[in-house]
Amino acid sequence: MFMKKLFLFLMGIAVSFTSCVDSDYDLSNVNTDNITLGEEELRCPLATVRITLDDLRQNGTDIREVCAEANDWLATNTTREFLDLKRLMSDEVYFNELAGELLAEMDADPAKRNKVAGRIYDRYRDDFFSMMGVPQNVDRSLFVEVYASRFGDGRIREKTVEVARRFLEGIQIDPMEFQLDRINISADMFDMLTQNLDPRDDTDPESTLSLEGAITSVVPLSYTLTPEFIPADIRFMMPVDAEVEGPQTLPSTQIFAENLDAVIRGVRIVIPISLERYYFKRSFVEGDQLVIKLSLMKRGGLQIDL
Amino acid sequence: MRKLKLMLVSAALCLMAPIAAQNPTTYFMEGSTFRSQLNPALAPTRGYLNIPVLSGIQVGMAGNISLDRVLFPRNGELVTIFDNSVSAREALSGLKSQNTLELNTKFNILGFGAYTKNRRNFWSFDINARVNGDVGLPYSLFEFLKLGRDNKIRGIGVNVDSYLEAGFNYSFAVDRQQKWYIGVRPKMLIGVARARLAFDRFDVMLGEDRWQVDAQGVLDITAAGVEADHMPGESFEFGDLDMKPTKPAGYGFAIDLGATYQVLPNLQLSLAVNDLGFIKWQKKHNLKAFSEKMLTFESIEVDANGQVGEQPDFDLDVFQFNESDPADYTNMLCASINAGLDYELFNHKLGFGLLYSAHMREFDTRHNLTASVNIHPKRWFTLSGSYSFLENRGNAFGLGLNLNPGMINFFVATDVLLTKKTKQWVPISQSIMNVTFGMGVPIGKVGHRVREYMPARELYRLIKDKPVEELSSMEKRLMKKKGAKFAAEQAEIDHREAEKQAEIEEKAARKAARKEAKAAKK
Repeated sequence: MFMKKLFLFLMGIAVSFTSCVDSDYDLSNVNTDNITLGEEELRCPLATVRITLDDLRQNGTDIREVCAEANDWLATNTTREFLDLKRLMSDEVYFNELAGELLAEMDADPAKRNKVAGRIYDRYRDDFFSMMGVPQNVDRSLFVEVYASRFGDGRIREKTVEVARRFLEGIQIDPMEFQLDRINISADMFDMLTQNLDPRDDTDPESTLSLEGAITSVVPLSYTLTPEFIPADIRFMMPVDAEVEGPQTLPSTQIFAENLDAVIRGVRIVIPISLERYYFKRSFVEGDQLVIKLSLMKRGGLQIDL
Repeated sequence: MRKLKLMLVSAALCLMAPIAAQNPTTYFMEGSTFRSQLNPALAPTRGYLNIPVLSGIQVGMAGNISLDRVLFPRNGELVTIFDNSVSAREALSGLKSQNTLELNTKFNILGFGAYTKNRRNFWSFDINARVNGDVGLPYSLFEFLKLGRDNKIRGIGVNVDSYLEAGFNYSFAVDRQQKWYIGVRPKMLIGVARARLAFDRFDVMLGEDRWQVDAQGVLDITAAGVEADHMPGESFEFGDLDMKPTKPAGYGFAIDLGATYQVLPNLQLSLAVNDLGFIKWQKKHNLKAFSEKMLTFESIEVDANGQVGEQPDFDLDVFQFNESDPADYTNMLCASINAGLDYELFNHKLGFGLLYSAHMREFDTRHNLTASVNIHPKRWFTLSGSYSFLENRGNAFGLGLNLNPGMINFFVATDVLLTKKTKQWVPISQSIMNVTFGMGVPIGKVGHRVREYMPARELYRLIKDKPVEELSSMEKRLMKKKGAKFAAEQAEIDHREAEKQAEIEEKAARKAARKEAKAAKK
C-alpha cells in the first residue's frame, strides 16, 4: 500500500516537473548570427587630408599671387567684405559697381592708380601700348607715369575695367588630387563594418555605413568642394564658409561594402574646388590651409560573425 | 576580436546555468553516499559499493546571473545578449558589476565504504574525477560591447582545472557518549590539466579621432603534451595549441575535515571544511604566454605627396600570444565550508535542516543558506525538500529522493524540477543549479548512529544498562513495550553463552590435564 502511494506521489511530482518547461527557451535554437558591438553609432577614423598653400594654385600660380592681383583690381576703401565670384559671372550691375569703386579710388588715390598701372605693365601692357602712345620697350616707371597722366582717357579707363573683369572672373583653384594607398584593415574588421548593412533599396535603413567628417579651412575664401573617390564611386558636395571658424561638418554619404572595399584597396581622391567668395580684406596664414578629416560612421552596431 | 567575442558568447551561454559546488539538498539525505563528500563526519545509513559511472554524478553551477539575463526570446528563437535586437538597456539591466560563473562536476569512478564492527565508525574509499571552472566577466566589458563606448575593463578571466582525487575517509566517535563524531578524508590529487586566461588590462577607446586598444593578458596552461605550433619569435593563437593529457601533469594533496555534535538526542550540529589542499603543476608540462596589444589608430595622414606615416595594422584581435618561460605552478584548491543544523521529530521520521555553505572561488566567494525538510518514514526512504537563500535567484526549490530498500541504493537530487526551465532542463531564472545522481549496492550492516534505525533487540542491548532518566522517549517506549521480553531473551542468550563458555573451559581443563599426565609419564 505504501509503495503504491509512493509511486503515485512520485508520478505526480514528475508530471509537475515537466509542466515547468518554457517552450520559448530551447537551447537547440539559439541564433548567434546577429551579434553586434555597439548599439547606435560607432565612428572610426579613416584619413586626414592636409592641404597647404603650396597645393592651392591657379594654372600653376600660387594662390597668394592670384589673390594679391585680385586685391589690386578691387577698391580697398570699399565697405564690402568680400568679392562674390559667383555673382560676378552673372550680375552686370554688381560688376559695374565694383568697377566704379575701383575707378573712383584710382581717381582719388595716386598710390592706387600707380599700383594698378604697375600691374598692367607687368602683365597686360600689350593691350595698352597703342592707346597710350608709348613704345613697347618703355620702362616701367615711364609707363606708370604716362598711365597716370592719361587716366582720364575713356579708352584707357575702359580697357582697365575690361582687364580687371577678365582677371576677376577667371579666379579659380586647380582641382587637387591625392593618392590613398591600401589601408591595412583586417578582414574581420571589414566584415564587422559591412556585414549587416541594409540594402540600397531600403527606404528606411537602420544599419548603415557612412563616410563623414569635417573640414577646417583658414583660407580667405568660401568655396564648394566636390570630392570624388576613384574607383570607389563615392562623391559628395561640401560648401565651406570662410566666415565659420573651426571644423565644418561634411555631409554624411552613405556607402556600401563595395565602396569601402575599393577605398581599402586604394583610391585616388580628386577634389575640384568651386570658388564663391573672396574675402579680400583678410590675409593668408601659414600652415595647413585645409584639413579634411574623414571617418566612417557605422549605425546599427558592428556585426560580429561567429 | 572575433575570438574575444567567441569566448564571451560561450561564457555568456554558460553564465545562464547557475552552479553550486555541491548540492545542499543532499546534505541531510541520510541514505545518500554523497553525504560524506560534504562532511566527512557524516555517514550513510549503510555501507555501499558504488556502480562505476553511475555511482555518483554531481553537476553544479553557480553564478550571479541567470539564463534569462543572457538569452532572450525573439520571434520564436533565442538570441544572445549581444544581439542587436536586445537593447543595451535591457541587456545591461540584469548584469552585476562582476559577473561570475563557477562550474563544478564530480564523477565517482570508484567508491565503497562500510561501517566497522562497532557499527558507528565508518570508512570509505572513493576515486573521483573533478572538473572545475570559473569565469569572471565584468560589467564594463558588456557595456563596451553593447554601447561601443570607451572603457577600462578589468577582471576578465577564465580558470579551468581537472584532476583525479583518491580519498580515504574515516569517521569515528571521539567520546564515550558518542555525541562527537570526527571525520577526516585525506586525498591524493593527480592533476590532469589546468588552464588560466586572464586579462589584467583591457582598455578600449573607440573615439571619433582615435581607436585605441591597450590589452595585456596571460595564458597559462599545464597539461601533458601541451605545445603551441608557431615559428620561434612569432605569436600564436588558440588554434595553434595542442595537448595530450594522457598522463599526470601535477600532484597534490588535500584534506576534508568534519565534525558532528549531538547537542540533544534530536538536535545535531555539524561543521566541515573541505578541499583544503593544493596541486603542484609541473613545469615540464607548462606553457605560459603573454598577450600585449597596444594599438592606436588615428587615421591615415595624406598630403599632396600621398600617404605619410606608417600603415596601421587595423586588427583588434587580442588573442595572439607570445610564449615565455614555463614555470611550476601551485594552486590552492577552492575550499568550502558547510555548517549544518538538523532537528528531528516524530522518532526521526521528520527532520528540519539548516545549512550554511561558503565556497571560495577564483573570482569571488559564494555564500548560501539552505533550509530543508526531510521526510524519512522508513529507514530506506528519504524525501528531502529544500529552499536556498542568499544566492538563490529565481526562488529555486530543491528536491531529493533516496531509496535504499536493500538491493540497491539510489539517490537523485536537484533544484531545477519546480523552476521554469528550458527544454533541456536548464533553469531559466535561477542562479544556481544542482543535479546529483547516484546508484550503488548496499553492503554490510546498517549503522547504529541513528538509534531509530537500529533493530529493536540491538537497541535494547545498547540501552539496557542506562539509567531511565538518560533514555529518550523512543527508548523509554521500547523498554516499556519489549523490555521484559528482550530481558528474558537476553537472559536465555546469556545462559547459553555461559554454558558454552563453561563447556569450553572444561574442555580446556581436560586437555591440560591430559598434557600434564603425558608429561609426567615421560
